[in-house]
Amino acid sequence: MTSLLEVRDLAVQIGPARPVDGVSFALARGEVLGIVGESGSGKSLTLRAILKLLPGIARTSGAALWQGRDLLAMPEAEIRRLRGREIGMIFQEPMTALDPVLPIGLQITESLGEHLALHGAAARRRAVELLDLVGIPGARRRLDSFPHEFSGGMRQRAMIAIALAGEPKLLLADEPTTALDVTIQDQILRLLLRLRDELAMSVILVTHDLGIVAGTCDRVAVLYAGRIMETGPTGAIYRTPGHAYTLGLMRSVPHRALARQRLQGIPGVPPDPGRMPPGCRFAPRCTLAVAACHQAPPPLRPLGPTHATACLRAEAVAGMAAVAA
Amino acid sequence: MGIVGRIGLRLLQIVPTVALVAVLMFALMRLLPGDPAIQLLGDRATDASLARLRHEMGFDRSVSAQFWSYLEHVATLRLGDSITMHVPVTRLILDRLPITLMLTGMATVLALLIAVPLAFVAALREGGAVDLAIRMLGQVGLSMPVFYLGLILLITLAAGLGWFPVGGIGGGFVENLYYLFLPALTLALSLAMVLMRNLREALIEVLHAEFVQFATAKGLRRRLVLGRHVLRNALVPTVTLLGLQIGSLVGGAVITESVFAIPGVGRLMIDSIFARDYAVVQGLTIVLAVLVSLVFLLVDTVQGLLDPRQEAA
Ligand SMILES: Nc1ncnc2c1ncn2[C@@H]1O[C@H](COP(=O)(O)OP(=O)(O)OP(=O)(O)O)[C@@H](O)[C@H]1O
Ligand code: SF4
Ligand SMILES: [Mg+2]
Repeated sequence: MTSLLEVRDLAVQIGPARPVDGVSFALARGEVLGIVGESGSGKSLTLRAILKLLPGIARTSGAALWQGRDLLAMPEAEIRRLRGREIGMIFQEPMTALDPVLPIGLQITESLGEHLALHGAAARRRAVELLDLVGIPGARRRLDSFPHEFSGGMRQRAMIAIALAGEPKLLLADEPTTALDVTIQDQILRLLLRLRDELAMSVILVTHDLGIVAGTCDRVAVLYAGRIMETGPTGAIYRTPGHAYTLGLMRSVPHRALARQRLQGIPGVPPDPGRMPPGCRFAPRCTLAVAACHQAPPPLRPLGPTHATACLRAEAVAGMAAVAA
Repeated sequence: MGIVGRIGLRLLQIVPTVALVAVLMFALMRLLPGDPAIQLLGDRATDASLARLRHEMGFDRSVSAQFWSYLEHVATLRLGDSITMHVPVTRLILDRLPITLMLTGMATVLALLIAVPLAFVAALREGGAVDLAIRMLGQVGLSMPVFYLGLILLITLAAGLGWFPVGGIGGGFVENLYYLFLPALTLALSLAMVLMRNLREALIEVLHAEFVQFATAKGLRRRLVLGRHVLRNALVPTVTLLGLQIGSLVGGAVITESVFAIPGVGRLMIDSIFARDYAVVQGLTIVLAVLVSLVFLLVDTVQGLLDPRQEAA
């Protein structure tokens, strides 16, 4: 089976820093992949790099194969047609991502015009359907409202509606539920899963929240300091984590792994992207570190058919997780 | 509040503004040194003829009596007769106002036509050689006084190359477009430079905004992203600035009309001040105050249309 999207050795260089450094993962059709990591680990940069949305000062290398063709090597005119149409994106901050001076309706219909050649009344009808779909009450009336007239949750939904307007095959969702209260978080996540089922849409879900990952994602990639630490099926990783950082993340959440809580509690802070440690990037904070961890960055190695880790002490980690369980 | 209510409110606000201008005007004119009667009749006029003239102009009454009749006249738009030209002030102004409105209107349009493309090109190449060149051009343009610029244009394009008339106006609207081109350009250039600098900054800021990234992520073509999302947001502060520049535009019009011998209200103002023609100066000031207030109203309305958040405020 060929992947819908395959990211190979993606790196983003900004000045002397390399906040994304050799990220690889693959995504199948209809799959939901979670990307988790602390703040600053490079989650947003990774998503933006895939759609070539980074500013000129950022140099991107590696490959992002979309149905076999490299997005990063595509001319602007070509990738422009894929944006929104094949790959939709939800930004992290709905307050700043919506144009403050244009009505929500227009922000949807302009995408419909661009991608589906829907204009005028037909576009407005479709826009109402989309607002309905994401659960905005009184959709017809809301078409002419401006972003500042929406609540935070409604803005988030409106942004999802905009991202869905082009009927993309893949949705890049950058923390679509951060800063929303738990009930609205649940509604939005259920909505994404329903769309995945109804439209056979794939989703990359970026989040801080391990509880959200457990409840929504088929597979997980754990990102730390611009690198993938561990990747595999959600179930396998929760049962037998293969990386000391993953274990740390799970332990920092009370009541096992499923509680809804932002990541916290691993002592220390992630390294500065300009001055990465020479060995494992987590080594300065890792309680399991041995001498070899400080020498060279451990490569990703397989733990199972689709489970891989970049931890030298994966077996010890699995043992500790088993004891704790 | 709807847009209509907003406009109505602003219209009402014009009344106290104009009243204040009228009062200030009255006081200022009375504070000016020199006796207008002597000014008009000369040093050797007889006391009797001076007294007659003062009576005609009402200067023999008490200041408060003069003030109340003045206010009454202003309120009813009876601006009286010109002291020196002996025609109704309203006529004088109405005859000359259209040409000044046309001049300032053309200048504003020209300024925008110059400022918007230059600001766009500069902002899209921020920090590049083109950006630098445009910014330097802006600096030079800003540091040049209006009358000096007018003279240069006059000497080169009109007197030298003969492409434009050296002054005066034509007969009719279309011919005036041609006659007023150079004066309007003179007036437009410094305004264009101010607007360009401001718009460039605004564009650069908006270009980095998240919603522009998001618009790009939606797959909109660049032209739509720039023309709809970027320009529209960047124009909000620029329209505010344009409104604030109306004062210097009127001041510039006075100078330009003198340089290019254009019979507009700017020239009328200068001539009347030199001739101590109280009636005309007062009437003109009040008309200009009303006009400037109307421009503020227009700017405010455009602003409300450009940025819906302002209406809530
Ligand atoms: N335009 C930029 N210029 C320089 N550094 C940047 C830029 N954008 C991001 N970075 C840096 O890159 C790193 C990764 O940023 P990114 O936004 O991808 O983090 P994130 O994982 O999405 O974090 P969060 O959870 O807070 O959203 C951070 O250290 C950030 O400071
Ligand atoms: S490789 Fe070593 S330092 Fe890195 S997480 Fe594993 S045990 Fe810790
Ligand atoms: Mg982020």
